[in-house]
Amino acid sequence: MSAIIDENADVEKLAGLIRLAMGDEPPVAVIAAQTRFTEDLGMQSINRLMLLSLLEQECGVSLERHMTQLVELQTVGDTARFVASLTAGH
Amino acid sequence: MRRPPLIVDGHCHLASSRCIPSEFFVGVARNMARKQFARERSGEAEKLGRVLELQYHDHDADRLVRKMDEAGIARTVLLAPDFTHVFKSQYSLEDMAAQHAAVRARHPGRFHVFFGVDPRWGRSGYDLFERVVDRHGFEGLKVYPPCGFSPSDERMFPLYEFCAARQLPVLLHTGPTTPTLDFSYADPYLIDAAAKHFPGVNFILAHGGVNFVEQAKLMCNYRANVYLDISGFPAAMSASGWQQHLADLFSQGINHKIIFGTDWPVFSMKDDLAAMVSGLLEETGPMRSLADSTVAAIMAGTIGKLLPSPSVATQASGIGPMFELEGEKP
Ligand SMILES: [Zn+2]
Repeated sequence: MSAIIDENADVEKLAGLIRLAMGDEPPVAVIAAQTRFTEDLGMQSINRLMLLSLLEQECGVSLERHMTQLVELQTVGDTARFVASLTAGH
Repeated sequence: MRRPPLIVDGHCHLASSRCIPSEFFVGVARNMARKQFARERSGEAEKLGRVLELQYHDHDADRLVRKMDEAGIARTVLLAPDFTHVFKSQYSLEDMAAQHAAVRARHPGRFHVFFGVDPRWGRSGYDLFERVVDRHGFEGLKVYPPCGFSPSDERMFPLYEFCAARQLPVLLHTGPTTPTLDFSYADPYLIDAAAKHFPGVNFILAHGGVNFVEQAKLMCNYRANVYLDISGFPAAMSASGWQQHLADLFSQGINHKIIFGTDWPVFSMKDDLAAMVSGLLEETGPMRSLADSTVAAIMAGTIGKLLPSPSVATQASGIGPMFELEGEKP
């Protein structure tokens, strides 16, 4: 149960960063675990770059070490889980 | 989905920051940032350029080969443009040649390499190109005019003469690129003088199906030795979308001149190789009304015909350049 609550919190936090990364683009109403960056959110390369930069800044993710995995992640949930797994590892 | 018997990507790059200088990435990032912020924000382009550059760490092409396998791409032409004349680079042209040779050795039978030398290197550039063809078996010349020269600049002619003798194709960038380079040399018509002078050399207009399409189409239709590739197609600026844009291109009687290419990793964050290939080949896609033989030619056959036969490419030269090379004069 607590794992689900944690996951929701991780998705919420990531959703906040996505909204920042989207800048002036029309805001997206619902960002859930299964939401896909390109197909559902219409994120362009610039938005993905901004998001990666925010993950480094706000979540302490080392882009030097984890870029290869990060660029393969296509959904909000997968990314939230991956970021959480890095924090858990430390 | 209709799959041709063979798929060869005619335009691709190593996703390696060793081959592309930082200034290139910073320029791309600066332009991208304008989509987000109307005014330049100090340090933003450098910050995003670094994030972009960090995605280019596939130095041995293991990731690329995985992507090719997912997409059903048998072989790929790796293009290695020479930016070292205009941008400060930690790695030399020799390093870049060695890296591409190592990639070919690591993944046998998967890669062809078209290598670039800036004509302003003169004799030393010519010698280097000859060496990489002889030593590493590289199979074409990559020209990057936005570095600041016309592709018909006579300083290119010794290289074209060498390509004629070895039956190597020449692929030149056309259209805009990073804003830190010069777009005025990116027009497909600029190849005309060289294409006329060297009828035995086949010239491929990189991105010709996407940038300056009207000029590229005319060059392909009226110059026997000019071809185009469709690399960068997911980003084609067309109100009707890239699928319709390509369907129009495929209906103009120049399909024997059109070469499939992806320009990976440039669009990899948005469109992966497998998605690009299936987008092209799906039942409702831009190739829907083409004959199987035409699809096979675009997806592999034509680039296959332009590549040198192994015996010619590795022939000992013995052919000195007819044209004068810079640095040769006293
Ligand atoms: Zn390219």
